Amino acid sequence: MKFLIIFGLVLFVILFIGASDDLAYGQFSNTSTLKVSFENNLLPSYEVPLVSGQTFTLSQNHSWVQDETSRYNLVSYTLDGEAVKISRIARGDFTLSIPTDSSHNIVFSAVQQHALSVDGTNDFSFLPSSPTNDNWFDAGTPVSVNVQKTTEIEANKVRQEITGWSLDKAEFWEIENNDSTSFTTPPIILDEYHQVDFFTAYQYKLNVISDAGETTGSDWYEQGVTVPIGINAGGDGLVLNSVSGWEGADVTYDGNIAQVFIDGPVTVSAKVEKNYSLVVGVIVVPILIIGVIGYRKFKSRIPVVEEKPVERIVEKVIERVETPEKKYGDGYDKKLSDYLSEQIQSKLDEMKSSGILSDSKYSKIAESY
Amino acid sequence: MLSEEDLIARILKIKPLKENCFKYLEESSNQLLTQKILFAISELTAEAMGPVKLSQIAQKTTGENDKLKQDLVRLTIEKSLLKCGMVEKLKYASNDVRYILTAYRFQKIKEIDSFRGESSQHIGDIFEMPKNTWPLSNEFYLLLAKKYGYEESLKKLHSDYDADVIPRGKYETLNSDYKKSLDQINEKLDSKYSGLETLVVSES
Repeated sequence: MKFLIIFGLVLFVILFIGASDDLAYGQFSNTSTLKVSFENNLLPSYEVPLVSGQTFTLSQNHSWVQDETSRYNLVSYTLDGEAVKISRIARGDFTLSIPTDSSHNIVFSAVQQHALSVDGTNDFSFLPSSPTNDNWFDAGTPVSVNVQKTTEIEANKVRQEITGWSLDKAEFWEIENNDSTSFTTPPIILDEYHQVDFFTAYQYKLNVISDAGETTGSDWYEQGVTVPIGINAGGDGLVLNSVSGWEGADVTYDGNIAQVFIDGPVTVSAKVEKNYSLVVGVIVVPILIIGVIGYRKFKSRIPVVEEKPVERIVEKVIERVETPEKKYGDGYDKKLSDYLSEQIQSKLDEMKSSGILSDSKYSKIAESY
Repeated sequence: MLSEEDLIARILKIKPLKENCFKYLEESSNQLLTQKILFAISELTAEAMGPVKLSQIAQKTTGENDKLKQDLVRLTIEKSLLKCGMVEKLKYASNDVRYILTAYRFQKIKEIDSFRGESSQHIGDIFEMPKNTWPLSNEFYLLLAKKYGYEESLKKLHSDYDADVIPRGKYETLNSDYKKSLDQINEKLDSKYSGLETLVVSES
């Protein structure tokens, strides 16, 4: 009997300790978990234990590469059944603070994206623009590339004109030379990676200038062409203008036809001379005639009249027609333009010597400039 | 390939690095392959204006690009530079993997873990990769040079006009043309290359 009582007490103690352990285990083993999964199993699911009282921040890449030419980009997540949209970003991590009071279930949704590369110009935009603000687009999206047809390289001197484009280096199309300042490709379906190449040609400005009259031929031309130029010299009243020649590089002039060979930006100027023969015929001669008649008529009454030579009368008339102007040196535009070129070159040299610009880039810029 | 905007973003970014990663940039590591790889990627990227291939990096750093050298460079990149987040690996195709720096300016930091929580403390100055290895387009440099050229030319134009070297009409025409060109250059520098001019020129 005593043995049974002792045995019973021992058993009670063992059971009580066991129950206490279970109770303690029950208090500390009740940790919460976060289950992270991806719609359509785009990435493997996983679970994270959540420790009550400590903050937990979930981090997930906005984009991840799927294969050679595509990637996935986060669009939304569902936390315990409640859907939330994610602001679309190409790079970096999406982070979310998770409450640790209980277990949670989060499901990420992502869309497939393909890249659209554009070469040959920097002055372009996508229509519509990328949802991730880069050159990646959601699979199946039709995208056009809008490009400015003309890029000014140097103001009023050199420009680059888009002449054609190709898709995936397979098909080539020429771009019509019309008045439009921009060109938009037909929609390209982004069901895979695509590359658009634009082809360009340099054009140079020909300026035909003159102090008098209207010139023809001023326009943009491609290198290597020969352009006819001309001038309607006109006149200032009775003073006629006539072209005596042309100044500027590469002008051929045979007295009738002038042509310029385009090998860069060119400015040519017409040398215009004033012709006073009409002034002499219309004004001076009648004055002389009237003068002679008057002289004969009043010869008897006028004692002595000093006869003025014709040349002096002509000079007087010309002086009245032409108002004297202050003379300034010629070719200031070119001098200033040369000064500009020198300053640009000196800045490039300075950037090279101070280690901002590499030797190879300096050479390339110097070549193109 | 990466867009020019992406490359510019990498230049503008300052990447914090722990001491164990920042050491690859320090003078004491200048004989290490890791530092040579960093500078080689930077230099090659500036030329190509985009990510570069392993064979190019191997050729630049070791003078050879056989498989042995490529493996050596790849392992070095993966074991150190990728882990530190200094280099990014981009897979364009199954046989076309390229590398690019994540940033061109780095700040050494020390992480402090106290009862108040984690924080970091900046140590020393920002380290910059050499500016002539930054992936900046020729257009950007030319814009900087032209900006300077137009500013100087306008100064000359004003002084010439004051000295009565040119008539008023000519002065006004040229002043208007040159100012217009300068405004266009400034507009492009402020929009497309925002933040870069100060970084490249003023702080050089």
